Amino acid sequence: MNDLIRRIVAAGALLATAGLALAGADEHSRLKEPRVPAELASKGVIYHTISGKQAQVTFTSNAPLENIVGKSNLIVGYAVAGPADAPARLVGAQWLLPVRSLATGLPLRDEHMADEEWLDAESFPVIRFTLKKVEEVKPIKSGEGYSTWSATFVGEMSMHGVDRPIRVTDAKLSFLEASDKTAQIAGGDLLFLKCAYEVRMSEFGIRHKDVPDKVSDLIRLEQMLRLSTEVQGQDRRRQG
Amino acid sequence: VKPTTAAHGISGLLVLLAVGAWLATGREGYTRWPDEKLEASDAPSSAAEEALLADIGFETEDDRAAQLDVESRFAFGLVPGGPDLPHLPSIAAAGALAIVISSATVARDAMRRRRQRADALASSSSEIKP
Repeated sequence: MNDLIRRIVAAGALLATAGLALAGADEHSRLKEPRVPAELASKGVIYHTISGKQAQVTFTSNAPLENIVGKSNLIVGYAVAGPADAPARLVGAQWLLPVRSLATGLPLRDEHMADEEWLDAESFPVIRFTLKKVEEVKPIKSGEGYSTWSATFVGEMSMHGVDRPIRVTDAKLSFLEASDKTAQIAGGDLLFLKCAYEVRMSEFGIRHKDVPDKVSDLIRLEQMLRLSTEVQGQDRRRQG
Repeated sequence: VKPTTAAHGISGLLVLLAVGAWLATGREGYTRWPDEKLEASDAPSSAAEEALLADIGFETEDDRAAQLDVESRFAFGLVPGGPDLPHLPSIAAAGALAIVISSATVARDAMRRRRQRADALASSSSEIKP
């Protein structure tokens, strides 16, 4: 009887440890927002990325059996708006994507994607985009309390330990002043940002025997970020 | 129905059912199940947000329709989505099982015929003995 009780207690302890480990893993994949450099913070309104809600990035890669599609909503980062007459001329921005947060719907594929042969999440846990400048800023539509723009982002992407310049054309940005309508989404003034671009894994030093025969070297990414001038909930405590 | 015919019928039925399940669940490459991580990585946009984005010229319904997506749901795939039991069922696994069943039946029949021939030979040779 004592042996049975001991086994039940041991099993309970094991389950509790496993639960804590899983909770820890989730906590680990959540990043804190990068600190806005002082020289940028003074230049414009700071928008903070709202994470943990709708998908912020969706990637696709062609493969023989099916296209691999995955997504994440754990991107954190900031954007500093440009002058009042052209806020889309951002003076700075940076976003971080935790590699382990990418989900494709297949647990085994998620593991493979994060392992050493692919994105190597252990050594390079984060994909980073740092904005260097904004070009080709064009107004699309504006009205009371909002303006929508298209622009080209020129920046640097850091993935798998490799930094490369990247140019994202036709990005769309909408700036909205806080209102009853925006309050249904989040507090504060809002910035919506959408763009699509492609990257080659080989350019970031990811060379796998299955590329390009089984998995395409080219990855297409679509991003939709929601940002607010208010730091959201949990991120308020975590901001660096 | 002869056991051999029944076995081949079951094999054929297995493959047909597998192809039916594959067609019915979206013709995916890999078998998958609702996935917690995938579910956690997205939340549906509210109707208010969609209306607002359309109003400000940010996103149209066509844009949304063209967006890539992957849903957290069951799909019976062409091949297993992993080595674990829940991800094994697939057309490839059903085909392999069908081949095993039919091959085992053919092998069993062949062995039985060989044994019958050997028995017949043995009995005929014993009859010849004086």
